[in-house]
Amino acid sequence: MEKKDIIGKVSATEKNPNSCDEFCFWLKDGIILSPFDIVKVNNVDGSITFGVVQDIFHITDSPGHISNFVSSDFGDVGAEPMTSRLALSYAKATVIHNNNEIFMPVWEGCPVRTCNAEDIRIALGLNDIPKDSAISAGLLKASNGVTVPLDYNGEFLIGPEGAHLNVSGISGLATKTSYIMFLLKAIQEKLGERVAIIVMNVKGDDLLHVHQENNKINNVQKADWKSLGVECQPFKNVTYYYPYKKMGMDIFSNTSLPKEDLRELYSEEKAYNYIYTFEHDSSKIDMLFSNVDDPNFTIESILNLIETSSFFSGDMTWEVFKETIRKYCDKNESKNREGKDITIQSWKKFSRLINNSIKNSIFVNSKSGDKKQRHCYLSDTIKNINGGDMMVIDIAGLDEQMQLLVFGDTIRAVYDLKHGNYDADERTSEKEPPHKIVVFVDELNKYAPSTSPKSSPLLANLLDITERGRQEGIILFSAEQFRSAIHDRVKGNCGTNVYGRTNAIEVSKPDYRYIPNVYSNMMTRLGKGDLIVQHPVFKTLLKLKFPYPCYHQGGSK
Amino acid sequence: MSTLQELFEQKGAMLFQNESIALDHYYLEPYQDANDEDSDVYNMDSPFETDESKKKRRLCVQSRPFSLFKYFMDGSRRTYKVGDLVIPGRKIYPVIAAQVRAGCVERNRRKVNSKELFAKNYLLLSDSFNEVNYDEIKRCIDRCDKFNPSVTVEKYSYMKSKDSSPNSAAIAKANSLMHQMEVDILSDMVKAEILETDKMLIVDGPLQFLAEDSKKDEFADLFYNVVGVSKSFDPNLPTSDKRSSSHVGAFILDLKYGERTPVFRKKNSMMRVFGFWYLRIRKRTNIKNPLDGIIKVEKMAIREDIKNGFNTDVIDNISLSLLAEGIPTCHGRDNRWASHLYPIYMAETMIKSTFSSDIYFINQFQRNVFK
Repeated sequence: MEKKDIIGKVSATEKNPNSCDEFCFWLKDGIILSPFDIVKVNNVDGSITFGVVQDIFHITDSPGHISNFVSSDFGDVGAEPMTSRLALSYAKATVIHNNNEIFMPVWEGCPVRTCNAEDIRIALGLNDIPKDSAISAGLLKASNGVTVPLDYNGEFLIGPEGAHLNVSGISGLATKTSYIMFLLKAIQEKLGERVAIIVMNVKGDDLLHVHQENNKINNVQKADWKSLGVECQPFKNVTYYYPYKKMGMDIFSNTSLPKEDLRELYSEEKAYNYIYTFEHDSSKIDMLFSNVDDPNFTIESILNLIETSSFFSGDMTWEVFKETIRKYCDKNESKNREGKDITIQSWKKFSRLINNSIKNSIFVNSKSGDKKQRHCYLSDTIKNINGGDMMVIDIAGLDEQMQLLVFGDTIRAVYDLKHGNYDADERTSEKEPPHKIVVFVDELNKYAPSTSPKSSPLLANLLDITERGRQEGIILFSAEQFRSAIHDRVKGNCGTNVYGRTNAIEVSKPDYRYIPNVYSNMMTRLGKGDLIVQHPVFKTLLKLKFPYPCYHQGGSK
Repeated sequence: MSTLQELFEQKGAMLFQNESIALDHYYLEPYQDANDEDSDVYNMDSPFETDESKKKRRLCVQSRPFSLFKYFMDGSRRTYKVGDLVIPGRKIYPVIAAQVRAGCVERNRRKVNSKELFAKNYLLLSDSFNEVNYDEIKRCIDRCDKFNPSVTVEKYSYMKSKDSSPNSAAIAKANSLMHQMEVDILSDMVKAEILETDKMLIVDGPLQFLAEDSKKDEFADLFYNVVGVSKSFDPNLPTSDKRSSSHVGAFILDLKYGERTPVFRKKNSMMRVFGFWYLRIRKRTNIKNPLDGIIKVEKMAIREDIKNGFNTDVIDNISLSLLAEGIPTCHGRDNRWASHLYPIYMAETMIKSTFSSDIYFINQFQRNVFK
């Protein structure tokens, strides 16, 4: 090993001894080091111990600020000392690996060196990730200029050993959506027909052009894709699903996508408009109340009644349904009906909620046979999804209640598909259901908030997926601004967690307690495109970058 | 292998090791110039410089400070009594072990690095000990490879007229060995021609190298670009031979920041002539005691300086450089911070970091390590 690689020497003192877990080392003058850099030290028996820099300090021989003040000629800001104070920088590193599995503390005075790409791969255990299951995670860039492509172990990212991914960070700065889309691209390329992807578009037309090339990407950014071994091409086999609404003569989609683009998609048979009819979707009404507190289970009782009572026949229209509910609110009318044990007040509350919700244009009386309107049922479409397909479901134009319904419908349909809860005629595709289905949703705090009512059906589905989905091949990729706002069991079951730029209030929350202070402080200063990841196979938190999106990012970008 | 006691027994000498103690805190020198000989001759009646004014000089402090100094040297020693040696039937003398260090640091663009470091360990025996036994024991101990650096045996002389106790005599010997190291470092630097008028050397303490003085001109030449700076000095030094003479401490009390006394003349027993002056490097408002922040500067007079005195401009430049060395300080680390120049403090720190701990060093002389 060359002397020029030596950046410092191990330092152990009486008051700060080295341990199996961490060690300190002082730095040579002029060395630039950063937290997350990986260093190596020779240890006993010819082994090498690798550590990740956790924090960097600068100390002098001055015992206090008063001494420094005195040393500047008692506070003369213009004083020029002839001699620089004895000062040094030293770093604290956490041990992450020893190539001989020896975890003796490193010895005082041992030279500390920076790592090259191969060293980093050994230290992080990247060489142990089977090539078949490796999924590109991004680029690790060290202070010494070394760049290493990182891979997730797919078995821990999308099952079966571990699954689900969560990304948190401030909107606009944390690049949550872009990172997840990068991962989805890597997954689509790696798994091909073994995976289907469902993406919810929640903002503008951000994800409504994923099949189109990004014209803004330059050659340097393309090279990043190449170094990661992922093709810099937009997504394949993409179909878009918009909320139905008559917007013009030939436009029936409630979306911010420009009309020309929409017409093009219509002509290519890549765009459909989803609807809800009472006959087909009455069982999904409960999703509308996912965020409504129901401490006395009155709404649940009403929903049970709707499902079982003959007063709510399958061929009703939504208007008739609402009218029927209204009748229950009338004291005289309700006497003759079932459900007398449910109070009028409860019916009135239910009626009010229903009236507020079921007025969106996605609620239609029946599915149109007119191909121009391009009607579809989301749940049916999902039950016919094939491996290699990508569905983008636009919910940006919907209000929160509608978003709950659509997302809940999606999740339930995926669940039913993977569990085989469908009739033979519901799935017309000749192929088997995809081995894995990855669902990406942004703003997870709306669907699985930490304050979610226990009776929320959507929460129940999400818990099922996050707790048991990995074996069944249902994977949830989620994003939100504040991780602390997510239900504990949902985020707790995410095997991979990614952190983008956030604020100081957020990092003071208990979710960040396990993260060393210097890393959590760094989260408040992360640049755009910088992320900190925690993955079961990585021995430590890592900071990585990912390439510029390869797909057209829409008008809002 | 044998212990030190067994080694002496084999040579027919009795060595008692009933106590091993560090000596330095018992024998602290209060002033750095306390070793000035009684035979030193002072002349403080008239200035020993080209400007013959007897008044204090006010230096023209520069807005952009400069320093002529690039090298800073210090020496340090730690002494321990490791036993008492009985000279057969008649006398008993202490056996002293010493860690002696001398080092020089160099400053480049404000950063201080080690230039040279000499480190030696000594075992000091009284010169009353039998010469043959001494030589044999010296050979055995010199062969011992358990010490790093290795131990060298030396003799010390105890004279009742000069030394208060045998311990003091041994300590004085250790001091002399330290001074010799300093002179050796200085010789190396002079031979390498690295000292110049704008790359001068500061030695911590007075230029008291009596035992090392060869009395030749070559010895004086070593000190051409060297000054000695004492951070503590005897304030009771009389300014004249008269009985009612004043003390120098009273004279320098009124020095203001950036003021110096005229250069005074001193001749030692080796007939070496020195000029010395006092300079205040710290504002009086920033110190506790009135004599804090005053340093005593000494320079050896060479050739024409002996006759005419020092060039006042040279002395002023040296003084201005010393003023510039006033910051940073070792405030909080050393009580003598007001007068302790930081680069000297760095040299001292470097040297002291090479000492073995007291317990470890003393116990080496109890172990079975001697062949």
